[in-house]
Amino acid sequence: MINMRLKFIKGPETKYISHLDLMRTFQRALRRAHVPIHYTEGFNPHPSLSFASALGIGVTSIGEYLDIVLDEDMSEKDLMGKLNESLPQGLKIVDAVVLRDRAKSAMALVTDARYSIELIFKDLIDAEKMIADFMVQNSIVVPKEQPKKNFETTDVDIRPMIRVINVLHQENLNVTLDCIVACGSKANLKPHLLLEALRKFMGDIFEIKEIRRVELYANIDHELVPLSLVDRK
Amino acid sequence: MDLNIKDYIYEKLLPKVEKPGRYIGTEWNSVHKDPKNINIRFAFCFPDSYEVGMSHLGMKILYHLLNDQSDIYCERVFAPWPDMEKVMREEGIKLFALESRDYIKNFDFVGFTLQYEMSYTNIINMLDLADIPKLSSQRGEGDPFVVAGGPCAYNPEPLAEIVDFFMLGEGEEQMPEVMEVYRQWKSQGLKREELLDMVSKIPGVYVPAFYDVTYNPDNTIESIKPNRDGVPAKIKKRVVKDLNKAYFPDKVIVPYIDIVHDRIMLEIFRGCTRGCRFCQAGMIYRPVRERTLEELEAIAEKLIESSGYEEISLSSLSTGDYSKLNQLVEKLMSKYEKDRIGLSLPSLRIDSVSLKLLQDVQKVRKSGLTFAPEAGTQRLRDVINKNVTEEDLINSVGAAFDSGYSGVKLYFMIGLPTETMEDVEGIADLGNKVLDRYYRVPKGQRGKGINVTISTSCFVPKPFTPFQWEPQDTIESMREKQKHLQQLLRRKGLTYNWHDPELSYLEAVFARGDRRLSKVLIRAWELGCKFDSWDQYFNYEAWLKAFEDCGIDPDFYTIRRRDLEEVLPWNHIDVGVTKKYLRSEYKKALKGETTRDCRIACTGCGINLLQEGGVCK
Repeated sequence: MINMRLKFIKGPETKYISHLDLMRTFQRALRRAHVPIHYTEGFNPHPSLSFASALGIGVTSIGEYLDIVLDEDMSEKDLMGKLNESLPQGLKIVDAVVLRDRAKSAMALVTDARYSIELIFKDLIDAEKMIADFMVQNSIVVPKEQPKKNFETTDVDIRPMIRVINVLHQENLNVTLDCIVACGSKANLKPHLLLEALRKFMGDIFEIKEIRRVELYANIDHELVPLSLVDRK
Repeated sequence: MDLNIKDYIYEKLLPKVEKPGRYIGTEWNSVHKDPKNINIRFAFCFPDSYEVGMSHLGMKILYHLLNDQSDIYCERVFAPWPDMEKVMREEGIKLFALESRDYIKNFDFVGFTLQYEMSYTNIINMLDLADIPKLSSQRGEGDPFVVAGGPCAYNPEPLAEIVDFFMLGEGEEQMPEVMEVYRQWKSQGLKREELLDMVSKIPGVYVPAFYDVTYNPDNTIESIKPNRDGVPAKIKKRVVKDLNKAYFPDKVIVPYIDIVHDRIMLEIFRGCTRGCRFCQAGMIYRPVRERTLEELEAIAEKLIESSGYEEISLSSLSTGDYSKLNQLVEKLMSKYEKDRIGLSLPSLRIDSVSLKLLQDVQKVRKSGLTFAPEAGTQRLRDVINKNVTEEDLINSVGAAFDSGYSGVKLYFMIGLPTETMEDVEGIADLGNKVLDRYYRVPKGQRGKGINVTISTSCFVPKPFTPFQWEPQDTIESMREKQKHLQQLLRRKGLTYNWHDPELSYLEAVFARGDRRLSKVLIRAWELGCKFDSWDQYFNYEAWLKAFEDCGIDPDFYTIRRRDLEEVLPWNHIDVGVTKKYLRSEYKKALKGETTRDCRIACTGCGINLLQEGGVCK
C-alpha cells in the first residue's frame, strides 16, 4: 500500500460545495480516473481518502490537502494527470507526494491555516493602523454558534487563535489581508468568525469580496511547515 | 461591486441560500456551449426541486439528445427552492437556466416535464419568475414557446390555456422532428401562429388552441373538436418501436449534492404487461419493449466509465418481468464486483426466486424489503387485477424472515372501487399475519428488531385506466378508514403510515380535469400555492378558496361517477389502449374477474394497432 498526499485547488466553480459533497466528488473522480484506491476492511468498506481540514462554504483555496491510500503503484505524475482529467471545473491537483511509512495523516498534522482575505471598505481607512489596534487587544471575545447545540451561541476568545494578520495590499478601498489562524482539531478559527470580530471592532465598514485559503501548515518544532513538505518519502 | 447579472447571481445570491449546490450548473458531464454559435435555446424545466428533478431519467435522456445537436443548447431549470425564490424576487433576478445563467424568457423553448399533477402550480410560479406571460393567449412574437410532455400530458387539458403545445408519448424521435420544424420556421422568419400550425402536423403534437370544447348544461363535455382544417381529430402518442435502436446517452450529469436517486439508472424495458387496473403507468407506457442483454451491458459500461458512479439501479415498472433478469444480474455482478459497484433492483416482485437474486446482489444489508399487495382482501385484489394472493405474500415474507430480514414494508391503497370496511380490515389482518409469520422463525435464527410497516395511500382514479369512470372515495370516508386502521394496527412490531387525503383529492381533480381548471391553477398560485407535494408548503384552504373564487366545484371532478358514454376531457387523445378495452376491464373489475398477464397471451388492449406493424413483446 502506498500513502499519498495530494494538494489541490478549490476554485470559484466549486466553492459552494460542502465538505461531504466534496468527498463524494473525489470518490467518483478517482473512479473515473481508475486510480487504484485502497478500500477499508470491515463490514462497510469505503475508499481510503481523508481531507486535512474542511473548508467553509463560499471559501476558495489554493492549498487544500487530501490523503489517499493506493493498493498498487502509480506514479505521482500519472496520478495527477489522470485525476485532473476526471475532476470537474474548479478542482485541480497541483502536487502529489508519496509519504513515508507510518506518516501521520494530514488531518492529525494540521495546526494552522493561512487565508488571503479581500475586503472592500466603504471609506478610505488606515488599514495598517486598524489591524495593529485590533491585534494589540489581549482578548477578542465573540459569540460563536454551536451547530451541535441548536445553534445557540457561546462566547469565545479568538485572540489566542490568531497568529498573524498583515495588510498585504491596499489600493484605494480594496484591502487584502494575509492571516494565519489556528486550524485543526485542537483549535480552529473560521475566517468568517474572524471577520465578524473585525466588524465588531471596526464597525460595519467593509464588505467581503473574497476569502481564499492559501496554505495549511503543521507545527513542527515551533515552525510552520506546509503539509506537502511533511513526512515525504 | 460592478458585476454582470450572471456573476451577481453567483457571488451575491448563492451565499444567501441554504443549498447553493442546487444552482451551480457546472456539474460533471453538464453541457456548456457558446450561445453565439447556437440557433435554438431550450430550457428543460422540471417543476420541482433540483434533488427531485435530477433523479428523473427522462430529463437525462432528452438533455443529451438535444445537446448532441450542435445548433441546440439545452439547459436545465428546476423550481428554485422558496429561499432562493425569495432572494431572486427581492433582488429582481428572473428565472435563469443553470448552465449559462441566462434568463429563460429569451430562449426559444421553455419545456416542462409533467410527472405529477401536484407540480402544476410550480409551472405557473416558474413562468412568473421567468417573466413569461402565464397564458398561452398572452404570449406574442419574441416570447418563448412553452411546451410540455411526460405522463401527465396524456390529459393535457388542465394546462390547455397555459402550454402552447404538448408532445405526447416518447420524445426520442418526436423531439428532433419538432426541432427540425422549428429550424425551418425560424429561418423563414414566420409568425408565431405559423409554428403552431407547422408542429400540429407532427404526429403526437397537440396544440390546445386549435381545439374547441363545448359543454352540456350539466357541465359535462359535449364535444372536443378541431377548430381549423388540417389538424387531427385524435392525437396519437408517439412510441419508439425498437428500444435497442433508440437514443440513450453515454453519459449522465453527476450532481455535487445528494439527490433522491444518486446512481446510474439502467432502463431495462418500457411498459408493463401485468394489467393492474388502478395503474396508469401500466397502461400508458405500453407496449412492453425490452433492451437486449448486449445493449444493456454496453450502456452500463459507458455510463460507469463516464460517471464514476458506484451503483447501478435496474429501472423499469416491474424488474422481475425482464425476460433475462438472472443473466443480466449475473453479468453485471461478475463484471463489476471487483470495482465495488453495487446493483439495486427496485420494483421487484418478491418471491423465493427473486429473493435469492436479491440476496446475491445485496451482500450485506438485510434491512428492508417492500411488498405491494395494494388491497387487503382477495376479492378486492381481484377487482384491481393485482394478481398476488395471501399465500404468495406469506410465502415471500416467510422466505425473507427465514433468511434474516426483519424489516418489511407493505403498501396498500384505500378508497379503491367497491371497497368496504371488510376490505380495510383485511389490510390489518394481512399485517398481523405477516408479523405472525416472523414469530414462527425460531428465536436464534430470525433477524432482530422486527418492524412491519404498513402504508396506505389514497386511491386516485386516473385517465386511461379501467377506473377512469369511477368516483374517488370521499375525504371523510378515507379518513374514517385510516382511523379504523390506526385502531387495528397497534400491536408491537407494526407501524402504520398514512397520507392525508386532501392532497390526493386535489390530485384527483387535476388528473381527470378539463381546461376550465387552468384558471384555478393560476388563482391557487395567486393565493400562494406552490410545492404542493411538499407537506410544509401544502395549503388546502388556499386551494378551496381558489376553486370558490373561480366558481368551480372540485367534487364535480372527484366524487362523481362518469357515464360510460360521457365525453371525457382526454377524449381526443389516443394512447393506444382502446376505450373498448378499458370498458371491458372496468366491467370485469366490478364483477371481480381477473385478466391474465398479457405476456402469456394477448388480451386485446389495442396498443399493437397504434402504429403500423406495431408489436408487443
